Formats: sequence, C-alpha cells, structure tokens
Amino acid sequence: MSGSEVLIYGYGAVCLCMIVFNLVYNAVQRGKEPRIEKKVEHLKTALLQKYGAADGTRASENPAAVPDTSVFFRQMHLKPEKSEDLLILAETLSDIFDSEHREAGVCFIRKLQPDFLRLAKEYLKKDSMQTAYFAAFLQEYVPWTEYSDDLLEVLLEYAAKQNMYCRINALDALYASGNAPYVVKALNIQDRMETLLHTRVLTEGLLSFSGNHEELMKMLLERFGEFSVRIRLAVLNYIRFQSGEYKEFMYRIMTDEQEDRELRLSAERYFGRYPWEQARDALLAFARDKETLRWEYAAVAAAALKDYRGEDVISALKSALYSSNWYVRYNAAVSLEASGFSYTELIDVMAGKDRYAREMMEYRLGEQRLMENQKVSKEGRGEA
Amino acid sequence: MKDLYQVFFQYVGIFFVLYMVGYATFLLLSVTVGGSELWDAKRRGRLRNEMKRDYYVPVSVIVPAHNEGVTIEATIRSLLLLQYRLYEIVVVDDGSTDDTSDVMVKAFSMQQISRPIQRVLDTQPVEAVFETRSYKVPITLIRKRNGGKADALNVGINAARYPYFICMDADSVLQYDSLEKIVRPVLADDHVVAVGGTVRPCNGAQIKDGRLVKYRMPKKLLACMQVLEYDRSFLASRILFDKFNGSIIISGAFGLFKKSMVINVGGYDTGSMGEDMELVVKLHVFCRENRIPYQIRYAADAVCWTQVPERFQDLVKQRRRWHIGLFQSMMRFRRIFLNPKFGMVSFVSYMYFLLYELLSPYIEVFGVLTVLLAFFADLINVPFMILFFLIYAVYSAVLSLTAFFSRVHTADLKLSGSDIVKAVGLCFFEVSFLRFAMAWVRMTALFGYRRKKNQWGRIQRKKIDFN
Repeated sequence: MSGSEVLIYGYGAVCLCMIVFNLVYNAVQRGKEPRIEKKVEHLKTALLQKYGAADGTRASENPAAVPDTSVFFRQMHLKPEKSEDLLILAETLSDIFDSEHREAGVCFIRKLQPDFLRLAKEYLKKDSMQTAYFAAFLQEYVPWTEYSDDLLEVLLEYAAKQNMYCRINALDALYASGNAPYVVKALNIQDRMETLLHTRVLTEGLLSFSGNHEELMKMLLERFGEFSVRIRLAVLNYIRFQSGEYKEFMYRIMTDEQEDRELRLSAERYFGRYPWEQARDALLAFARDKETLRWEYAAVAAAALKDYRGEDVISALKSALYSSNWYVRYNAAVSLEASGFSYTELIDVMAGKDRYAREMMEYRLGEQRLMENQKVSKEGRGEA
Repeated sequence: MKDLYQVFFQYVGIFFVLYMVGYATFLLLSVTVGGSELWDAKRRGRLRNEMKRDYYVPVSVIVPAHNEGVTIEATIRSLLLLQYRLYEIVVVDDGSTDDTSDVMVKAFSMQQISRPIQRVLDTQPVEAVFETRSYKVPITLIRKRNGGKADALNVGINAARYPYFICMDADSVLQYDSLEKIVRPVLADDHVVAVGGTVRPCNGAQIKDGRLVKYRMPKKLLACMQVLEYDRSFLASRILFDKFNGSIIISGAFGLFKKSMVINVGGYDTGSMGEDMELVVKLHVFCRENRIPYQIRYAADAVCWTQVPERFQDLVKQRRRWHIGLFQSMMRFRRIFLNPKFGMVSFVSYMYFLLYELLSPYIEVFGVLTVLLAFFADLINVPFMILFFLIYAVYSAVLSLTAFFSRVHTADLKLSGSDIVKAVGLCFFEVSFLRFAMAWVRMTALFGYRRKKNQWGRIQRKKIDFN
C-alpha cells in the first residue's frame, strides 16, 4: 500500500470509528436512562427508610440513631466519589427535598457533612467538569452545610480552574458560605486568572453573599488598591447596589482625574442612586461639560441629577439638552421630566433654539404618551 | 511534446496530492475536534455545568428586513418568546416595496414616534420610527431609504440602546434559549467582542414556541443536501477555528457583537456583499493592530433556525453572493496573508479560506479539465482514476455523516429510518454532483459582481409557522 493510500484509509477509519462511537454511545445512553430512574427510586425508598421518621421520631432530632452515610453507601453500592453516582444521589435528594419528606433529606445531608472535605479533595483531582459539578452539589445544600476552613481552601482551588462553570460554581459556594475573608481571597484569585469573568457575574455574585455585607465591603475596600480595574469595577458596582454609606470614598474616585474612566463613571452613578449634596457641584460640572470626548461623564451626570433639586440643576440639565451627544440629551430630558417639567412647556420655551434639543423633548413626550395610551394588551401580558 | 505533457501532469499531480492531503487533514481534524466538543457539551449538560443564576447582559436584537412582508410577523412573534429578560427588538425596514412596515404596524399595534436616531455610523436617512411598549420587551420599527443589508444593520446599531447587539435575518427564528446561550462566552470572558451562533436549516423541522418539537429531513432534496452541508461546515471549521480565536466568519443570520467595538471599526461595510465576514475580519485586524486583547467566539449550542433555498436558482443566487462577499473580504484585508502579526488567523484561518474556499472552485474546475486533457492525451489510468474518485466520495461522505450524526445525537434529535437512508444516500450525491455544480457557480460569481452592489440577495420566501 502506498503512503497516500495509508493516509486515506487511516482517515476513513477514524471517521468510521466516530460514527460507530456515536451510535454505540447513543444506544448505551438510551439503555442507561431507565436504569438510572430505577436506581433513583430504589435509593429514595432506602434513604427514606433509614433517615426518615422510621420509629415515629424525627430523625434529625436524634442524629446518632441514624446510620452512617458510608454504611448506607456501601449497602446501596453507591460511590459518591464517582460523578455518575453523585448524579444519582443528587437526583434522589432533589426528589426528597421537593416532597413532604424534606426532613429525611436534611438529616442525610447533615450526616454526609464530615465527608464533604474528602469528597471535595477527590473531585479536585478529576476533570474540571466533574469538579464544577461537585461545587454545584455543595452549593445546593448550603443551608445545611458547615464550611470548615479546609473545605473553603479546597473551594479556592476550584475557583482557580480555567473552566468557567467550575469557577462560577465554586464562587457561588463561597458566597453562600458567608465567609468574607475567603470571598476576598477568591476575588484575588480571579484577578490573576488569564480570562476574567464578566463584571456583571462578579457583581451579582457578591450581591448574593449570605454573610455580613458590611464586613465584606470593608474587607474589599481594604484590599481595593490591590485589585485590577475590572475587579475594582465589580466591587464599586456591588457597593452601589448594596449600601449608601460609602459616599466619601465614591466621591474621591469620582473626582480623581487620574482614576480609570469606568471607575469614575461607576462612582458617578452611585450619586444618582444615593443623592448627596456634597457631590452636587461635581455632577453639575460634568453635566455642563461640552467636551465631546467626555460625553460619558456628562451623560451619567445628567441621569444622576434626576433626584437633585434647584435652579442650578435645572440650568445644567437645560444646557445638557443642547449637547451634541444623543445620550446626554436623552438623560437630561428624562431628568428634567423627573424635576416636574412638562415637555410641552419646555418645547414651547425652547422652540427654534436647537433642533436636537427640541427633537429629544418631543421624543420623550411621545414616549410618555406611548406608555400612557398603550395599555398592556392581553396578548402582551400573556407573553410577558 | 509528450514529455512536456508528462512533466506538466506530474507537477499537477503533485499539486493535487498536496492540496487534497491538506484538505483531508483539515476536515478530519475539524470534524474530530468538533465532534468531541459536541460530546463535551452534552456531558457538560449532564453534569449541570451551567449557570444557575440568571445573568442578563442587555442585548438589542436587530432584524434588517427588505420585502419580508410574508415572514416578518412570525419572526418577531418568535423573538417575543425568547427565554431572556433584558432585550429589545429593532426592526429596520430597508425601503421595502412590499407591506413589511404595514404588517409590523398592524400586527403589533405600533405607533409612529418622533424619535431622533443618533448617527454614530453614517447611513441612508431614516424616514419614520414606530414603537410599541405593549409587549414584554420594547419593539422599534425604523423605516429608512433603501441602502442594502449592511446599511440597515448600521441604522439598527445607531438606534440600539444596549451595549451588545444581535444581528439576524428576517426569515430566521432564534431557539427559545439562544440568547442565553450566545451571551455565555461574554460572561465567561470580559474580552469577548463577538460570538457566532449555529445556523441550522428549519426546512422540515417543526418549531413551536421557539422549541424544536419534531425534526425531519426536508422533503426537497436540495434542502436535504444543505442540511448535511450546514452540519459539516458549522461542526467542522467553526469549532476548530474557535479553539485558537481564529473564527473569521460569523453568519449574518445569527451573531452577537459588542456595540462599542463595532462602532470603533466603522460598523458594517455598505460596499461589501459579505458584510458579515467583512466585519469579523475587520475586528481581528483592528484589535490586533491596536493591541487590544480580544476574543471572537463560537457558541455551538446557541441555535438559529433558518430557511434554506429549495430552488436551484435561489441557491445559485445565494452562493454567488457569498462567494463575492468572501472575495471582497479576503481582498480588502489581504495584508493578513502570511503576516506573523496575525498569528493563527493568518496562517490557518485566512489560508484555509483562501485555498479551500475562495480559490477552490478554480482549482476544482482546473482539476476536472486536467483530467479530461490527460484522458485525451492517453496519460491517465482510468480504473485508478475511478477508484480514486470513489475513495474521495466515500471519504467526504463519511465526514459529512460523522458531522451530521454527531449533531443529531448530541442535540437529542430523533430521526426516522427513512431520514437516515436519505442522509446516507444524499451525502454521496452532494459530494459527487452538488459540490461540482456549486464550484462552477462560485467560479463564475465574480463576473460582473460590481453591478450588484448594495442589493439584497432575494430568495423565494415561504410563510413560516414558528409559534
């Protein structure tokens, strides 16, 4: 056989193997599904018998009376170190937690508690998909889980894996643990990763933290300077949604011309959410700024001034209406509306002065009418 | 003279052996990598490697439309069924001569509004804007002077309120979970500037509420062959290129882009017939030349269902258009060719598109002519030639089937016996006949293409029931 023939037949053989693999794998999976269902049912019955109210007393009230999980697993031929078996266990527990036998599930999880660290270490050695799955499993049973420092250390290692789901699941488990120092450590790890999770994922994760937010915010701000801009942005956004107690810190960032643009904009938004008289002048200056390169500051300031009152605010917003930037004009129009101005009056007052300002106010007027006139149709409600 | 012929054919032979080995290796690699990626995705699903919390990146869905009166309502209704919270729909009617705008206004009770559209990107003038807030997300209809698909998309970008936008075709439907899936790469990596989705032919498929309820191979043979072709192309090259950030094409039927980055590169090129590819290549060039860290990703599980042409003349029109677009993009960014600054994008992606897409019709037709010439010069071993062709057909067919079955199984689609027979039979026909017919079409595509700039590629539309 010539070299080219070997090549062609070799390639063909690989393809045929793939087709055979597809067919066999599919057949095996189809056969597996009913077996898994059966196993889940069997496990559920056994678990309810051992950990449920067998002798009329609530099992969780007397944990010593219920069997050890390792004995149970041996009896059931189940190895939670194997992801296939952990899937079966998770499915069984999910069924039990959704039923009136929740108590038995809680009891079982509490009994399983000492094994979590060992299992976490086992799953750390496996491929990242399985590691991610164990992190998700842990997080599922957070309310009944005690997170030892050792377990949290392992979770930090999970959070350092490249697999996005592994990182997110591990972070979620850490947020759920309510342990602020470990969350800060986890963010530090994220900062060193090659691919950085989207700011929104980090912010929303921090917001889900189950511990003391004040403590977490304090710790994050202590280490603020060590973080990269992206993490700092996530932290600022988190603080913005969580607390109005950091005005001075935010003010320093907003007014620091050397600071990163995204951070300054986030700080500006903070004063839209939590109006602060000391920030008024800075916001007014931003809103009046006509420099096109700084339009984002002007746009955010025009929106932030919505809840500030006074002639100076009205004057700045009117001036922003003449901006060459669409977003500045739009936000100024919305804030003027919030200040009690009628668009009809404004259009009349400013008619002929500036086409763009007039157009924007007319649009906002139209938008308002649209909202008022168009009652949500039945169809729309059905789809919502 | 015969010696001269022999030397000529010897060199031609060497060239074709290298060319075919290169192609076979690429196909094998990409189908293997693609197949294993799909199995990985299925395993990820089983092991619940998914986001449990809803992270919503705000997205504007831009639907450019030109004479889409037949399909536009169904398309927009399907968009309203998407399982996603934070999005808006922007339909841009590019000077339709049919009732596209009227259908929209009537079907969704839209009202005309004097909305100023910012002109970040230069476009043809906007004639009217309609809006409605009666649905779960805002719908905007912009009627503008005709300027082509790229121009319509640019108007959509100008009007989009959100930082990311989706471009799609007006005759396509996004699967209910497609937005959630296509934004995942963005959540996973802050440097992602564009994500391509998977486009699958919907001819033969039954889709209800954005979900696939029944899958059959299309009745028309031409559409069937395109199913095989789409599966091969989306499974093969796209997943492989994605492995090294080398995707240089995101289908215009379904792609997600970071708006600010697209504006930075000047938006879609209105002078290009392949505006989708042109934009992606432009993003690569811009980011690399300005040393901006970036990723262009492919989301294999974000699915868009689209109508593929069922008439041969429509297919010819579509493929001519694609080939011209490919030619324009490759020529415009020829500085990528063998340029180390562009790394794998230059040496693998660009090279592949140059050799096996742009030049392939010429090479294939040249190959057929050479075979004929050799036959008349009595310099060919006919039984070996037939054997070689059969091996080629079987090899290509096996690869097409591998891609096809990988997709079917990993997407949990159920196929009937007759569909399997159809797929097996047609994959031979596709590689033996359709491929050569398309090679001829693509080869002649560049003749007189300049006259057809800014035209929408029209294919016969059928009313579709996606809901």
